[in-house]
Amino acid sequence: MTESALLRVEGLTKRFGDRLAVDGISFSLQRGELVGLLGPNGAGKTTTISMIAGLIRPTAGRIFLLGRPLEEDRTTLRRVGLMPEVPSFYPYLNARQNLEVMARVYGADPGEIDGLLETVGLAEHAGRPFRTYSQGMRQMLSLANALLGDPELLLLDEPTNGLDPLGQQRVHQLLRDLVARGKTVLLSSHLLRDVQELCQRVMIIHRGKLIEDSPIERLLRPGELRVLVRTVADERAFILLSGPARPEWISSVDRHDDHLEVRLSPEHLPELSAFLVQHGLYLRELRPLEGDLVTAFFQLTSGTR
Amino acid sequence: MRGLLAAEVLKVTRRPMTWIALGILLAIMATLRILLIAISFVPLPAADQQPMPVNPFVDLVTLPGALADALNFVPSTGVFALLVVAASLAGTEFAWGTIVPLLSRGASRSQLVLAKAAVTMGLIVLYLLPTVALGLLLGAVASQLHYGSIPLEWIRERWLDVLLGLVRSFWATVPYVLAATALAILFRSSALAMGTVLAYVIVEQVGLGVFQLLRPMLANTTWSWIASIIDWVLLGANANELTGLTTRAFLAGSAQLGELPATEAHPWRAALVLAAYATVFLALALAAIRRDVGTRPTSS
Repeated sequence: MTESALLRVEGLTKRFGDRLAVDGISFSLQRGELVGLLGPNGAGKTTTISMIAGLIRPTAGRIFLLGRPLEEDRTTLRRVGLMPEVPSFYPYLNARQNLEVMARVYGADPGEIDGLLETVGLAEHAGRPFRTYSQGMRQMLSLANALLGDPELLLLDEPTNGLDPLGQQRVHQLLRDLVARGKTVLLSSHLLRDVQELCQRVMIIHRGKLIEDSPIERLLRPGELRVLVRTVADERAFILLSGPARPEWISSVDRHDDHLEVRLSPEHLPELSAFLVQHGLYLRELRPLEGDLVTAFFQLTSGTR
Repeated sequence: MRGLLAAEVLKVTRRPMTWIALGILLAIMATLRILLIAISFVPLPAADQQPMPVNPFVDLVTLPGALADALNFVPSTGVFALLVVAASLAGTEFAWGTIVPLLSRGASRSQLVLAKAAVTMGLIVLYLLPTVALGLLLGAVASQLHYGSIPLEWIRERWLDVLLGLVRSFWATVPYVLAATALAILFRSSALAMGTVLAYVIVEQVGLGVFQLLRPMLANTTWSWIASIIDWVLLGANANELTGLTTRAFLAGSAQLGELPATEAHPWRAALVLAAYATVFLALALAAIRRDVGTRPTSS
């Protein structure tokens, strides 16, 4: 393991009584990575984040932050900003006072509070008590709190929960900026499109186990490629590609109203066009269909892959 | 630790509950004292139906006797308000989920408990000083009304008693507020902690009152050890031991003192027993905070 790993988790396990919430998870995050953490409800995402944030003690396994084991040196947690699933602040204090309380606890400079409130779009509402905030404003304050003290690692649990499209856009842009500045982000979200749009890498937890940890490209374009094909004669093309003359590298062909959908190994894509032209089936359109994370997620978590 | 303490001070001073509870306490005290001052002007009939030559309430409402009640107001009546505020200070961290951001950057859990304990002890002082000041003011008013002047000569002679009275009242209240804090952290609920400690205080105050009536019957019997155990063990018995010393200091020779139970005072024993209780509750809070913290508020 290189020194560049900001976070390294080895065999992380958490058992609550008889229930195994997290089962031997291992992964690492490099500096400047934005990694999505996906999984169905109750999969163990929040428990994993809570263990990394030092809120829950692992039953087994180790966490290394900035190369140091967390159980031996908890001071490294000062470099970790957490945005929990539910924004939690003192209802009788306003946004600025809430951040002031937390800044004192974190040893952060209270001078950065105004800038952070500006960044998350709460500067105008900074004097209002937290209890009067909408869900979206609460989320934004929680994000500002996570950014207090300029932490190196951000653990974000459902950061766009309850945000309007503008708020979501603001969070997306903020996360991109943070990563551009070399910050590392672990983003847990139910909104798969958020993850697809933002993350370079995706980890999927299912029933407490890490069942996938790969670059998002690989998830979106798995071993089999789906290709949209439109020719001068789709009916004839369908008969050709699904009949006895079908090349072995084509796994299936589906007929749609105005096109065919062909599944094949990605490296054979050039051969498909040549094969069709050879048989007088000139192409009107041939393009790979984008995979989407939703499909990949369901395939992985339903055990069909 | 300094940051945690500063954060706790900021929270408690900006919390409306802190000031509302103090306001209610001062209102209760003012109402009770004004009633007593009024009663002190009413000629009370003695057993032979003749008016008493001196109203026994006069000593209680005028200076320096008024100081006994003023100093003991927080450990007797004020303790209820302090329990509610102390339990709420710790319990709402879990109910609102604020314990998560508080602990998320590796803040020491034991230091958090110590900061909370320090702030709740500061609250005792915060409640003690204005109630004593109000008691002093109303005592001065009553003295003016009864004697036409405000006696001040006692200040030179009794300043040490005033100081000791403040310390005794503080010390008699500390174990209760620490119990409320510890139970709020243990149960992760303000309501449960308040309920438990308030129930204990009420049962103890009623029970101790009943026990004082039964005490003479137990004396010189084979059951006299029960009285000794109660004197040693009960939180309220030891707190009363300390506050009783303040009452004796300021009401010595008055008609009121004759009604006090004539127990032998053991100030050091009582102070040490209360210290032991305070230590136990602090240890309980320190152990309870070590448990895992979920990221969802307990109220949701």
